[in-house]
Amino acid sequence: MSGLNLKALRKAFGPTEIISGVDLEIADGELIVFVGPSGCGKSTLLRLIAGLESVSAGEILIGGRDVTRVDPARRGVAMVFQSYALFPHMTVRQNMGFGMRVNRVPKAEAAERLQKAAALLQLTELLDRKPAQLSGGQRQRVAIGRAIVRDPQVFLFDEPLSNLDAELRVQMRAELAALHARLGATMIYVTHDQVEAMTLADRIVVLRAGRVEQVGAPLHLYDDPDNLFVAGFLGSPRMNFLTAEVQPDGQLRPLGLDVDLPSPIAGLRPGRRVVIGCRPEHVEIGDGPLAATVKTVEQLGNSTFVHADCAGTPIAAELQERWGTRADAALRLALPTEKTQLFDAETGLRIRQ
Amino acid sequence: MSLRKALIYMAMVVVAFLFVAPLWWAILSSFRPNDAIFRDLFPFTPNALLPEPFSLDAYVAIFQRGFGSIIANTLLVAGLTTALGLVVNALAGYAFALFEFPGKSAVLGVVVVSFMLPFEAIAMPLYSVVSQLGWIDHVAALVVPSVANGLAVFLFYQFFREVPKDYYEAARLEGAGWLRILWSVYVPLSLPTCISAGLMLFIFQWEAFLWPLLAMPAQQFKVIQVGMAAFQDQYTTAWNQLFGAAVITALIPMLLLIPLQRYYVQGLAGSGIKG
Ligand SMILES: Nc1ncnc2c1ncn2[C@@H]1O[C@H](COP(=O)(O)OP(=O)(O)OP(=O)(O)O)[C@@H](O)[C@H]1O
Ligand SMILES: [Mg+2]
Repeated sequence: MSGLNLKALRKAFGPTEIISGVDLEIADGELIVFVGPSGCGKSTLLRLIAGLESVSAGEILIGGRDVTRVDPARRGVAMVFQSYALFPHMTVRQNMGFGMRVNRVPKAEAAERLQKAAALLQLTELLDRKPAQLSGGQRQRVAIGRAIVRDPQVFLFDEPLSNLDAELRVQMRAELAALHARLGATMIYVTHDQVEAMTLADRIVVLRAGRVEQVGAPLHLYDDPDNLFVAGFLGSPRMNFLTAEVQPDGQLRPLGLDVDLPSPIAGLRPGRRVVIGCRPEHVEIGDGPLAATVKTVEQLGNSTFVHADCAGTPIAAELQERWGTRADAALRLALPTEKTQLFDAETGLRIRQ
Repeated sequence: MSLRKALIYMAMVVVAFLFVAPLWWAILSSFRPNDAIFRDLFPFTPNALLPEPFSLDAYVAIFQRGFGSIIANTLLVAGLTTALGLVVNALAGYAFALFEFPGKSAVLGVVVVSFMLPFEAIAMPLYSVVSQLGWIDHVAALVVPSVANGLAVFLFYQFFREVPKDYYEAARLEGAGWLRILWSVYVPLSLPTCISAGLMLFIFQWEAFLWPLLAMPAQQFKVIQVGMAAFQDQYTTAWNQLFGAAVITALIPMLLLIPLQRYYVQGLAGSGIKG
């Protein structure tokens, strides 16, 4: 087992650069999750690590060894595909043993490794079935099993759960977490499901348009985002944003409103445009400076989402109690100053004290 | 209503009879002595449709006249072509489907055009190539030019292109080289395509007439269509033997086709790739 290093990694397909300089250090045994909007280059980055795409510039080190130009099969990585890519004409046993047959692993050793992986994933009963005779979750486990028997240094997962229904996803998520704990292997996991990212990751890497926006532990990214993109990407409903202008007295005036809100940060230059960010669970309803009208109310049982409109800006609030109100009802909202974050309206970067 | 139905069935029986009768009569005639062939036909009696009097003379005579070696020759040529053709055409289709190389679409275009050209158009240029190679009257002249077949390449290309690329990449990561991937993953998935292409190559050779006639002028090594023609010229009055030769010629490809025909029509759907 060993860590992974990406140094100034770039990838272009023809004239278009898809990965624009990624630097990343992944520790041995870490579970890293890549998230980002569709098309941001998550799969491409993973395929570069696997060696399925050639690097345009930069370096990839696995366990300290430069593997940038090493054949995919010799990098010590195993990949689980979104489609599982199980060979349909082979049984589970043949699928899991394919790599060992190719590499002429002695029969006895191959059988032992296969049995061990099968037992770990509860596949022993299914070894003689073809993929078509398996459920989605079982296929998923076979795909993982095929990766495990190779005993790789790094596991790569590209949206492995996205073909499963919601319930199975929750179950497989838990199994994956347990597997990671048990194997202690380095894993890189691509998803665009936030819940998967938040629950599985040791650290999350947020990507946008081929660049790393921020890297950090899930709660760290959630509580302390570096920029508007990360703030808006994690959390559902997403963080509320109000564009405001800094007043001469240092207060913040949301555009289109006639109220001033206290600033969490002192000493901002008057006239500067900032974005006030506040998570829905921190928005207070009842008394406050902002007048809004209710658009919709979502009752989830354990919590209530209120979607309101504040002079054209949508504001979502999450309440822990049940709260019945009609659409179009008038509301007053408060954004507790100590819970709000400020971002530069032009660059989107977080403004810190 | 039922009268109408009866009429329809009658019409169908008549049509079926018209189609089947000549075939049936040819088969029957090969099992009669030569002098009995036209006996029940003018005037017509139902006996004309029964193998009566029954005799295997025709077949015995055919094989005594060397038809056996003609069949063996043809099986050799067609078998070699099929075996080599499957390898060559599958490899070509695989390369077109999986690899990027300069001029790929142009070459693929040439492949497509090549199977649209009628054979007559290339017969003479092919003849001069083969004769310069010194292959005239050699088996190689029959086999080699037919091994690479544009339609077979295209069949494989079409099929391999539809196989999810993930299979290739997964096998790559497991350490398999491209040849191993072709053999262990693509070929097993493409069995129906292999069978279609194989049958096509086989039947192409089985039916070849013009080219063997040109390429084997010495007539030492005869294939079946040429042999049949020669047979007709030589034994114009041995009707039962002519019919016997025709029946054998038709029978052998049929024996291949019947057990394999369900693969012939089976597309991607049945190969287990989808779902
Ligand atoms: N082989 C290729 N040739 C050209 N462009 C490509 C190729 N592979 C990917 N791209 C482009 O690279 C970009 C990133 O693709 P990638 O598959 O990495 O996105 P992703 O983040 O995984 O998205 P998703 O969440 O939809 O899977 C896309 O715009 C895609 O069109
Ligand atoms: Mg992707």
